[in-house]
Amino acid sequence: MTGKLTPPAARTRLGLEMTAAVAPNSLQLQCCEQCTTVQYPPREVCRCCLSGDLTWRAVEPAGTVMASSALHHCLDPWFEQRAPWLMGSVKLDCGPLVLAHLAAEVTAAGSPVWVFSLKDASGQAVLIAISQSLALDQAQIRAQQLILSDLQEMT
Amino acid sequence: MSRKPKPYQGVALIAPYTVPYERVSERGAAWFIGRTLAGMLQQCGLEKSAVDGLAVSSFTLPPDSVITLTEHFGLQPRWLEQIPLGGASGVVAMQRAARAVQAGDVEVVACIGGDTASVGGFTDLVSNFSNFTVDAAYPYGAAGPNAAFSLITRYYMDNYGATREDFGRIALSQRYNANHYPDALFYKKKLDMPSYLEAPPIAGDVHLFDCVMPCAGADGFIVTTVERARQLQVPWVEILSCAEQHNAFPEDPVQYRGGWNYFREDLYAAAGLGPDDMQFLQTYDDYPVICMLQMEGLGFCDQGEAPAFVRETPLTFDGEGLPHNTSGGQLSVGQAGSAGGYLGLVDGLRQLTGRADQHQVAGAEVGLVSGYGMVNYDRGLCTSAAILQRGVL
Repeated sequence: MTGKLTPPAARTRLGLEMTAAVAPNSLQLQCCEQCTTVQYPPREVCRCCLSGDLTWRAVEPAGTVMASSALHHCLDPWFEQRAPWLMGSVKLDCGPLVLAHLAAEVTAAGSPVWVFSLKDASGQAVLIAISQSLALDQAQIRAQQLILSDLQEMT
Repeated sequence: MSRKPKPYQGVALIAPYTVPYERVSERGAAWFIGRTLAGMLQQCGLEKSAVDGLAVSSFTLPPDSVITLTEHFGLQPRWLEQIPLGGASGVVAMQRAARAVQAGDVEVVACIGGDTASVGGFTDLVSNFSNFTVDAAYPYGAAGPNAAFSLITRYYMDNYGATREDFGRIALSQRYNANHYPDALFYKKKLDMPSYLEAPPIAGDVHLFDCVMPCAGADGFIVTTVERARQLQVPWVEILSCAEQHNAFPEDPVQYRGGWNYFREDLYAAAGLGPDDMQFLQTYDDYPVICMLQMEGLGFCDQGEAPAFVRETPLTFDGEGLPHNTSGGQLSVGQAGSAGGYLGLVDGLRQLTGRADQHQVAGAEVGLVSGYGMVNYDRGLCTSAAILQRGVL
């Protein structure tokens, strides 16, 4: 009766909007049409001016790793099978602080990264951080490869 | 801040009570909350009919709520409050109740935080904790607070040079305190530094003994008038000052300070006291790094100096340094859901009413209780704190 285990697929309506906005080789985040604030996680209104006029757009994908963690125990079975799992927080140059999957080479604080929004094996959007030592186009390829390999290489 | 809060004159905190914690329970949250109410009333000699206000905090109470509890418990209150602020809830419930009592809207308010803990219940709670959690934390394996706090811990270690031994000093001193508090889940289990350091890693630098044990239980107290406390001939505690602040420093990329830094000066000024006058400190302790943020934010040491502070300062209840989390805190008593936001306050009230038995801080007259709670995404959003003083007959 159990299907193939996938990463967590549950999202709110706004999380599903993020999945719908996924476009090749980019970071798509919620932007305010009134005050240009870029925000994450997705919200019903702008965190700055409270406008409801929000659009998902490609934004500058550069950021800096603030902290990383290897998760040795996860309540979600997909991650528990793959522990320790690398994740971390990234401060994007365009504003938001995001939690993201981290490629193994960018766990040190201060690592410059590119962040992409891509669909994982659950079919939902996730954020992945790749080293800026790769050129943007190469990083895009690596992010896509990691996703296609079920993120296995990341640990 | 242009407007200064008025003093809390005439308000008494009485009847601190804890329903002993259980690792898991098949009972509902209302059992733990109801048995706490019964214990509080018995302790101070009030009839149930005297309770005209009720404030509760509970994650596992829904679909019930504070209003359905009135029917459950047979209460006819004229004042109700439900405080969903996690680890900041106890002080906030106290403050709201105190103002209502002061204004004459109500006379006897029971404030209770409590939760049950079913098998698998914790997973259900954390996997659907908030919209941000669902969309932006859970998909990265960050179910529950461990991941978020491991990032806060790593950032603090990188920036301030804290070591795992420093965090261990907090955990060990709290375990010592819990070894003197029979209701603690870890009352009979000792902890030493080698065991702390060798404990299995959970998330990054967060290892087993940095994490709280989810469990079932409840803590509560009654807010009333000093006049009523005198009539009842029970010891009481007065509020010298208190404050809350939420979503402080939203632009900090990782949390390394909190709302305490916003209100600290006003809090001490209103009490006419300073950190050196505090005879104990109760912090919200899910993860030792957060205790350090509170020690710094509340002025017991400078920003980034908490690792040195805990190296130099005995933190046990009888160590003659700064007695900290005197019952053992959540790290060693257990985290009974919302009761975690009341545990420090309730033990503070026990200390100041001379009811702490084996873990009594000798001569405790004044102390500070701090709250922190609700990781919605990558940091705790709520903070609160109160300076409390033993009431004088």
